[in-house]
Amino acid sequence: MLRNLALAALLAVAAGHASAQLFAPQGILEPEKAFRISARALDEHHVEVEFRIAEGYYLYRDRFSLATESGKPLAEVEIPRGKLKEDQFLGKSETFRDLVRIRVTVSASDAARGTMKLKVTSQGCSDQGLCYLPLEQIVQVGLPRSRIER
Amino acid sequence: MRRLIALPFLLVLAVPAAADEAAVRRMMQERQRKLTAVKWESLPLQWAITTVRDSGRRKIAILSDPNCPYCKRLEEDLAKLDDITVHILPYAVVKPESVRQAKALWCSKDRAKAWNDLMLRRIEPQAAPDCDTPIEKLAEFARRMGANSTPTWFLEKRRALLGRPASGGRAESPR
Repeated sequence: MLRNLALAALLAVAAGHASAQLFAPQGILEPEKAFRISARALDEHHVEVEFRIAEGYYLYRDRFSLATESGKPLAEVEIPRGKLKEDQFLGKSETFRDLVRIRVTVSASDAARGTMKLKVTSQGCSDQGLCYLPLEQIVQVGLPRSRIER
Repeated sequence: MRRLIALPFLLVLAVPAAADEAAVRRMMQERQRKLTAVKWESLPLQWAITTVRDSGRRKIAILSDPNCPYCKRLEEDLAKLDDITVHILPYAVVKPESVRQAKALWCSKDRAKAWNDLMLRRIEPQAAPDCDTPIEKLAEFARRMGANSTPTWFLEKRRALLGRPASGGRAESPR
């Protein structure tokens, strides 16, 4: 009810009276800032990609995609279970707030190079009432040399 | 003594963080500047799905995605208002299936009805998405103007606005 009044008031303003931008949410973060990515090697063949999610923002579990820098999808990706969110329009989906860590298995050939770049796509929204376009980020991670190779 | 050593150390740590902060702020301002420079007259309303109610006196244009929950809620709010012209610019970006849905909507006989059916009543568009559509051109236009979230909306003679109005904190509630 209150919301509709607010909207009606805004439109009244738009129709030609004073004062603009009444309801533009304050301090909306750029997606890179709302969803901060980092990555580290767990061992020779495993990388952990971490998102630190700003308060009031969330990421969808089913919108992650991880690939090599050249775009080859990574086959073994473990994403933890998210929190079930029920939306009256979109049904059920799993979401993450605060922090999510994704574990990736690196192929032997990638591991042998000692370093790799991951192309990580994510998509999320802000509680302030907007959803971002999918965000593509590249993270580089150094892999420890395997003791068997040399 | 300890405190004296700690202080310069903290300052060193703070510098990269502050630089990062400033860079992000600059980026935001740049994006916002580009977005707010968008004039109503420059909006490609020929690519909009338009609904006029009563006099249609109040005009709003929305970059909206079928899979953006806040877009749906904003449109639900707008559906209750009279004397309004609503221009929906289908910005199919949030999910891969948004593109197919938006194209099917554009290819529907009654676009406004098909759009409202999907947004307000969860009825999927039935038309085949194989006609000539402006969906890609619109996405390119919106990206170029710096719209990286939906809903992004415009009022005649006003600057661009982001998000759904007055939804702070409540939008996340389960129902």
